[in-house]
Amino acid sequence: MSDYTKVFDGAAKDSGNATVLGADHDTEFDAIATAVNSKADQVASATAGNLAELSADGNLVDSGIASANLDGLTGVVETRVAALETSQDSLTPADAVTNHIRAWGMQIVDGSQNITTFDYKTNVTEGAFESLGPTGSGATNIYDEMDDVPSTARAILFMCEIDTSISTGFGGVKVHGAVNGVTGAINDSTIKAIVQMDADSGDAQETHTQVIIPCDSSQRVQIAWASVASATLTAGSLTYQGFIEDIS
Amino acid sequence: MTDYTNTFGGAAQDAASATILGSKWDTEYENIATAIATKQNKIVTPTLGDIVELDGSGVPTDAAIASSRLDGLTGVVETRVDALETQLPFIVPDGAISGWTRSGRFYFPNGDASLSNYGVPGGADGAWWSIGATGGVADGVWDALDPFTITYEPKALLLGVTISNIASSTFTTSMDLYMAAGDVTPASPGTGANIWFRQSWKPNTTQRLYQMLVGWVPVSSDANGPQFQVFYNEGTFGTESISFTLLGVAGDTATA
Repeated sequence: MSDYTKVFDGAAKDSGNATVLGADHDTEFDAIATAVNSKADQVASATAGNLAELSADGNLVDSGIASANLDGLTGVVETRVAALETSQDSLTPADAVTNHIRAWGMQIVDGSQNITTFDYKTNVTEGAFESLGPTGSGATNIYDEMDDVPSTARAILFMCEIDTSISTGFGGVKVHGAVNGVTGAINDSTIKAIVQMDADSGDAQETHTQVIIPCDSSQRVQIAWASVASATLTAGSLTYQGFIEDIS
Repeated sequence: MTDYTNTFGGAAQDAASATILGSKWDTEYENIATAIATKQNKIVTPTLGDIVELDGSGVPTDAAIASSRLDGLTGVVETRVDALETQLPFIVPDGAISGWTRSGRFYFPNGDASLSNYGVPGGADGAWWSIGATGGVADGVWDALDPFTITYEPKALLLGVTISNIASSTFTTSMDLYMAAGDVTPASPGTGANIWFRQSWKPNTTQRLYQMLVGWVPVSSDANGPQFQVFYNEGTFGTESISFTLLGVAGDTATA
């Protein structure tokens, strides 16, 4: 690649009254030829908006590819990759909470820690749903063992204790659960745990069994309990055991 | 397209002491003009870094597209796609297991296979007792766990805990079970509200209560397969038996 620089010095020739030789012009024309021939040829034909590409001899030719397509490709691919990344993030569960074991969307306490219970017998009025949730959730009953439950949780695992004594005949205790805020009735469809039996005076039965109760976006559930017939709830508690989160 | 070649022959003219005619100059300048006219012009008012497109006449022009966007396509985007492809196998659940129905990472026995129950031995009475798959290092072997190798990263078991208790009107009997994953130091049983399963009762006559409690319990998983620990406290009178029935398995993945 070269540009053309004039070699011929006409003024010097003038001052020396020298003859301008034909060979002087040859030198000049040769220099022009070198410069001109190092420039790229014009593109013979093209479609407006197409990208240029190089030919084997270093000239530009029409690539046949519209530049708008390339720009669109970049934009479209970037957008789609970003969407995939977002989807992948939402398809990947949260990291395991301390002292929990993660089974993909479910996390369970690993048994290494003592966990305080929530005493529903004492704190929840019999026969009415009351909310239960972590610190700051606005629930009527705060249970700080739920504080590390992530916002993606959609259900809470509890160990439910029902300790009941029955004076005579048939009786027992039912524990009901629902997502906080729904107006579900305290009926068979919301029973999460139950102890009932025929008994004589002073008979008793106690069960700890696991229940799963759906929660709202503030990780709040609502619970209720009700005794049946002659039964008395001797003790009743919920112990936090983990959660199930939404991955979608 | 035309390149320019010097046809002037000035040296020859000199040698012949010939007069160089004006027409010869015309020829030479016209040849130069023709050649220059077929060469590319520089792009007027370019934006630094833009790629080049052609107009309808074949003239290169600024495409108004930064070349760095194309580098992003092949560099940054490729890297991001590679990361997606790397993660994808960990998002897709592992395969099915004969005799089990898979739902995501949950596996439930389909009833076609005969799975053994695990009778909890006296070694778990007042002491932690580990249970694992065949070939593992646990205190007890439960072969129903064998299909769930490290590939499936089993992390939770849905256990049916069947407790048979005999009691009477004169006393209450109870059975407390404490559970923990295989790789943790369990909390001390009875020092806090860490009972996992409990059955206690006092009937009106001497009777037996045979009851299954159900719940998810944590397990660890490694090259030895799934493993968990159990500890039980027996009440004042006869607990006849405790056995575990495997009702489900929940797995994880090897990546965060």
